[in-house]
Amino acid sequence: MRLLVFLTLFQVATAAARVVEYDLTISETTLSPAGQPVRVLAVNGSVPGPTLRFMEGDTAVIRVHNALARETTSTHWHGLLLPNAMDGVPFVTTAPIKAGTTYTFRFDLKQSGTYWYHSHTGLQEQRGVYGSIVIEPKGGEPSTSERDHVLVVSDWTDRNPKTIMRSLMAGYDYDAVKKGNKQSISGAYRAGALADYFEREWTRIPPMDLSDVYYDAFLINGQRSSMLEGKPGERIRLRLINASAATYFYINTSGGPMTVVAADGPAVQPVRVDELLMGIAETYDIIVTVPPSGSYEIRATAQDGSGFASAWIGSGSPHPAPDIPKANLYKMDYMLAGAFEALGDDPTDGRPLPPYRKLRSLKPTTLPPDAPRREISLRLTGDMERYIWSFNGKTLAEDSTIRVTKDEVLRIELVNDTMMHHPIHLHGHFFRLINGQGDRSPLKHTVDVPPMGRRVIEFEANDAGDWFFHCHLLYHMEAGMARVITYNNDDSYKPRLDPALLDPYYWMASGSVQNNMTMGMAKFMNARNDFGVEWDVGLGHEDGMDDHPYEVDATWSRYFDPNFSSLLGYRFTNEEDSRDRAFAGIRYRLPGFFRTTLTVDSEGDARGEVAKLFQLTDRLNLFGSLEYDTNSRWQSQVGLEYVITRNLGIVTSYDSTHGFGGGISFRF
Amino acid sequence: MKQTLILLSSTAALLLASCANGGGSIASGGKVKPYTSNKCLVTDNRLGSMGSPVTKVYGDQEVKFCCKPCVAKFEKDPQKFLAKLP
Repeated sequence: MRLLVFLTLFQVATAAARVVEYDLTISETTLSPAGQPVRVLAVNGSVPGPTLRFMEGDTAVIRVHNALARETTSTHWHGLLLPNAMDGVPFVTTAPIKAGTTYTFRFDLKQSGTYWYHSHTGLQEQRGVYGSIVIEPKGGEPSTSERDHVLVVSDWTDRNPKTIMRSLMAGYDYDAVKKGNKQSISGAYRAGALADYFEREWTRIPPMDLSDVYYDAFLINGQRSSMLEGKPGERIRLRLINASAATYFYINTSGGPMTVVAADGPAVQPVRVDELLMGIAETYDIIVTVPPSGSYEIRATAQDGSGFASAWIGSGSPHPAPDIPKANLYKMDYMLAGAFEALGDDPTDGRPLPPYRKLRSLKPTTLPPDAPRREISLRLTGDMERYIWSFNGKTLAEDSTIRVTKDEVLRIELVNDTMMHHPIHLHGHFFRLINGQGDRSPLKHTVDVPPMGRRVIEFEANDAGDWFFHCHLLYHMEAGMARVITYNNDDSYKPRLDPALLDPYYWMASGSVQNNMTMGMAKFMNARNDFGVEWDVGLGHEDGMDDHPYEVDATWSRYFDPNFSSLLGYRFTNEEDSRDRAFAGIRYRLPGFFRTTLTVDSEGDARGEVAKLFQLTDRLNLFGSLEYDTNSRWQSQVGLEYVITRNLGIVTSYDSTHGFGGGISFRF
Repeated sequence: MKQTLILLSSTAALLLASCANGGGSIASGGKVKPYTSNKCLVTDNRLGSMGSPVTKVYGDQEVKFCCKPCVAKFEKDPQKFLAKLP
């Protein structure tokens, strides 16, 4: 497709306000963000898209052209206070922009600061549909600088994000292998954490990681490394935007402390920090000074330690920024640093937290004292077992709304019951982050809630409509961690929602083909249901069998919690003394991740099975199962699998029915 | 059928045993005031959100935690956290 690039800007100066116009064209094209040519979704031909610059008080007119062949698209203006219909969330506030059409956004800019825009359609943001917004304040910046650079920090994968989502739902953990973060018995031994490893298994806590997805590259303004203009001694304002889909970044420099002067747009009292943790979708303005000589690095390190992106200022010999130590994922203590910070602890292990406690607004931010006040608690809930992410245990499909009343002050206590960070974003409003700064609590649009931690936010419900409220980790939002905050208090009212977000089904298949047998499963699954087929077919010629013995189960499994599922199915078999039969049962996960299945069938038989996998190294696992069936008696299996690629491995096993064998394993 | 019943009852016993105590340790002796909340005394997170809860007894008070690091946090300043109990 021919690259469509056209950006026009003209400003009509009037006595009242300027009208500033932009054209943004979203198209599919080929770029090489990670080095290899790949199809991307670009804005005006680039990733990221252009910076939209305004003055506070301007009227923005932005024509968004969808030049995609078939897909709809959208643009959300992240952090901007604007009319509900201009918010750009498809179905909720704004109609999807169909392929080949244009939608014109028009809104007044009531604020100043650093913001960004991105697609809110499906997983398009991960493929490149994002860019930056800079709004200069009317009276000039309170913290001055000689130069200004926008740094859009992002994560890049050459994979199709829909495939990534499917892998996450299936629980394939190859991304952890790629990142060097796969937890194993040998890894725990090397880390001196064998006891922690087995204790985690015994208490049924899944392996921890700081990010779900392996990325091919981390980028600043579309580059792994880039130079920034600046003369020695100049104060430079860096407008940092975390536009990544699923990565938190540590920001540090080799030039000494940074001065934070704005957070999520509004100015804050300048505060010096050596480093900071930047949540997804947050923005920070920091001021650094160009050194008299030498080239100094501003580094954005992925929180999981899997890579970083750099921008350099100054000229001469390079001075790299200090490395941020990688977390020991076998120890729970690091994961709880954010939760314990709220209880008065200071992180001391070299990995910073967000600088929230130090953020102090320039002006009082208190809300109208006579407004009615209400407080709710919202638990951030999740389940790595099947990648379900939710609020209060319910996905968007299961509970879509939080109701507010116009002009009330709603205080929300966000309690993170999961082992991951969640960047929670409210559309169309700023909220006060209750951070111990009293009437100078900072205004933000996105807040990180650390693992097992809590944050308290409050906002005035002063702009009627339906506003999206969600985790800005793209795959968590897609999995259901979202609500619509609606001003409509009619209990029968349901907001419009993108059907693609309503508990979609994904397909997956895994198994092995060996010289003696093939076994595996293929299924469609959504958050709570699996519809699938499991097979176990002999390929050799066992004693006394003229044909290949097989068992093929067609099943429906209903998932209740990480430990418990029910099972209903029909078994086709040609095994000796067996007949086809219907069956029902349960699956239960015992301490130590021993997985048990118990079924009874229409022939009056019962079957119990216990299975366990030991992760010996990051790629090698030992698996085994023991089964007792009142009809077919004992059966067992033990084997080794070595994972070679994302989709393939080699496997050898002994099966009490089919004997010894070897072959390939697969996951799709 | 007899074997089916034996298999079902043994499995049920195994499941019940795994659910009975979330893996924590309970010091026994004397009357212990039960911990009635479903939240961790240190972080206020839902018990069970980080694997099986940890149960301890301090004096005559039972206390539940979401995870082991919270026990260490508690034991640095028990009075601060015990004051949260009703």
